[in-house]
Amino acid sequence: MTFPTAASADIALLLEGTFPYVSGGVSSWVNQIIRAYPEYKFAIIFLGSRPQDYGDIKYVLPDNVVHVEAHYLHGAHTPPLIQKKSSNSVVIDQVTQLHKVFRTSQGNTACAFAQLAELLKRGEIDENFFLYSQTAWDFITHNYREHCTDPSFIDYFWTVRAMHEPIWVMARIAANLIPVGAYHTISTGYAGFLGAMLKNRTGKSLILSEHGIYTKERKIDLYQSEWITDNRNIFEKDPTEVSYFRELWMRFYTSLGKLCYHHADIITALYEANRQRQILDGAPAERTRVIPNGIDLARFQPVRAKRPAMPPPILCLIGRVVSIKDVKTFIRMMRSVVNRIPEAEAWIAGPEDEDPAYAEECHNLCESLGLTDKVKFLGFQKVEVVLEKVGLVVLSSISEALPLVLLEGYAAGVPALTTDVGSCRQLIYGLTPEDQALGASGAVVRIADPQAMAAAAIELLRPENWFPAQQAAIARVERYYTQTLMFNDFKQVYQQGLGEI
Amino acid sequence: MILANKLILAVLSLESAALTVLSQDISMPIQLLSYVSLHAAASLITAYLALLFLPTQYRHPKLMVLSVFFLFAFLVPILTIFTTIAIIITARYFSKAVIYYPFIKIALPQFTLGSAGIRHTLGEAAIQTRLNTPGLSTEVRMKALLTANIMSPRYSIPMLKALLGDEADDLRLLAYGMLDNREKTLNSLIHDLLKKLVDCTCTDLQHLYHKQLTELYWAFVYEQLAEGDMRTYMLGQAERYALSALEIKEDGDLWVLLAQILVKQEKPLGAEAAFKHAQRLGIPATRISPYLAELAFLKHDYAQVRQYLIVLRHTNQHRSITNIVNFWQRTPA
Repeated sequence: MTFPTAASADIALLLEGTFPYVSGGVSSWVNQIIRAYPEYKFAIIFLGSRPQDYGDIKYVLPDNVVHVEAHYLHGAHTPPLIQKKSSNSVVIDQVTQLHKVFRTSQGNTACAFAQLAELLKRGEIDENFFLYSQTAWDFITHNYREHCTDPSFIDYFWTVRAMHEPIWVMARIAANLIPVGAYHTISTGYAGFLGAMLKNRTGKSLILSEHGIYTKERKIDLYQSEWITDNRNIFEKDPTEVSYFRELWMRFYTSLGKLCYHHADIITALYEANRQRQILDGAPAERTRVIPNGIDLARFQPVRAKRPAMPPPILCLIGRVVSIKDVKTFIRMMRSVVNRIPEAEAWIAGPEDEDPAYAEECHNLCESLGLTDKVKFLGFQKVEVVLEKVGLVVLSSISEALPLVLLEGYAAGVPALTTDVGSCRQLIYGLTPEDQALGASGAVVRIADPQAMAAAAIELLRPENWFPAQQAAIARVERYYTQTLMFNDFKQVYQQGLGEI
Repeated sequence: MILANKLILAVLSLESAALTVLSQDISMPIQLLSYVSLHAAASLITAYLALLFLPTQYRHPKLMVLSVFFLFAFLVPILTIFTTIAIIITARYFSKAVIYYPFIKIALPQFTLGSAGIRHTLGEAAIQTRLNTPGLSTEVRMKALLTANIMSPRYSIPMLKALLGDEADDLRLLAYGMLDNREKTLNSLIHDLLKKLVDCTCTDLQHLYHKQLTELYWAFVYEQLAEGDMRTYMLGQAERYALSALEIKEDGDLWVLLAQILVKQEKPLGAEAAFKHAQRLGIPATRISPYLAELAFLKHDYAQVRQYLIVLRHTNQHRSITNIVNFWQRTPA
């Protein structure tokens, strides 16, 4: 596929694993933002894991997207030819210093990173140096002996290589990116690191708009991952410690996050608790602000007229089939719901290609619980079409920020049942006293509690509970979560980032 | 009140009579005996009157209160009347009311650690205490939680479940991850076995797969992973596969497991029959008896409980069972 290219743009969006290749809440938000400001020309820098992990783009690119680049962090380029590299002790001293800052969380991260960025810019530390120099080898082996608590050097070596591989990719992107007025990253992580590099290189403003907290989400993945080995035997193992490699990856992502927070000029969160978490993770409080999500009411209002008179016993999870959405709890809940409301159905409307292994587990679970005819996997669907037919929007996620899908459900007149994560409680029961006075627009239950979730779903489906919840949902979204409010706030952010105000 | 008035009159009459006796010209022993008898009777009634007018909380123990007032009235005549009146007025109008609350059942307070109480050693109880102390740093609680990985799932899973509502994000998510991994392991084993079972024609292997499926579904219940309807479902599946396995081949161990499943399904008669069948197939009585004792206990057949536990007297059972056996042996039949 050929992408548009341009010599310059106003804003470069740095997008990791999301728009335009992956559909979902964050991607919809990006699409919404780009279309909201036709006066700005956008460049899109997509960062993915490997080319084979993504199919075609999932969105039609808006007209004001003038430049698109897709880069892959792993396995997408051939390493340079093996050739002897001379050692450079000055360079390695600075790298040692930066690692020390990351490891101990003491010292000036920004200063250490600035030195490293300068070395990268001058080409004094490049992929050849990392892959083939005696100095780099000595550095790796020294660190292994000093810090690694896992006996496997082979695993250590390849973990370090895998961690550093994306740095050269990002150094190349930073060196070749077209001139823009400001950088806008939608997460910390690799995109945030790229943002920090670009800011360091060009001095242009960096805006960070976090939806979930990237570091937290990576931690969830890492705690659940099975691919990270622990080679300690029973005498070496300390049961109170996570395996060294798991911890190393966590520290790596935390450090990437810190760098991004240090370099960002404006940091936005979707709700106050996430803003506090950003500050806790190293974001300077004075640069942070809260801008909640908002939706296009006009798109969903017509859905209300198409809905059946009585709430249908159809519970719908709209989202990607990935572990963070805890789809399995949703399926388990259905076992209880179906026991009491035999005609009830569960719909899962979202793509299954992001984590095929997890999607398979979900299908297997349906099978083993005898729910294959009750739980329907619909794949990616137009939200408006689904919302016409369902009784409840259900979110069983273990981590969320401010889920757009709840707001979309509200606008279409569908109450919600969610787990107590992110800002879901605020969306269901209201934030301010005036908001709370509107009533509950659904119910909130603890994470991973199918029994409680089923009980709440059954209660909510009763017409005497459902209709008041629907009224509260519509009133809440119309008063507090419109895209007009969000667009006004972001206009200000962009103007500030571009130096217009 | 009428009784009290009559008694007051009686006291006054008896005391007057006693004093009159003292002024009579009669022999000394008779005079003394008459006085003491009349005064003693008056004192006794005075004591009873005092008891009658005292507030309820001061009337017990009755005999002691009576004795005190009697001795007082007997040994200090006349003056006692005023003193007793003063005591009654003070007790009735100037003492604090005593409220007797009925005994109620209260939960034991939960032990939590102050930061000074942190040691470097970890037992299961210490882990639980650390996890239940929200004031401790997330790092300390996180380490405690990680230690749950080496505990038996039966004990660690309820602990992990309790943490799903914890305030600390990291802790909640790690607990979720650990629970999810355990469920994932069991589900994937079940899935593999179901696939193997489809193509299996060998009866020995079919028996083995059915038995393994029973154990895996049972694990969801035993480890308390499944609750509510999921638990009912898992028990149903475990029972179904156990019966299928037993149709293929007799298996004492599996009968014991089936009986345990039936206990959880609240089918005591079926469970008892299954345990006894297992015993007939050679499973030692010492293994079956605790379960049978439990079933007898549920039926309130305490004599039978004792009978089943006698078998375990000299065996080296688990400590908690030994305590139960000792208790039932100590208590009379």
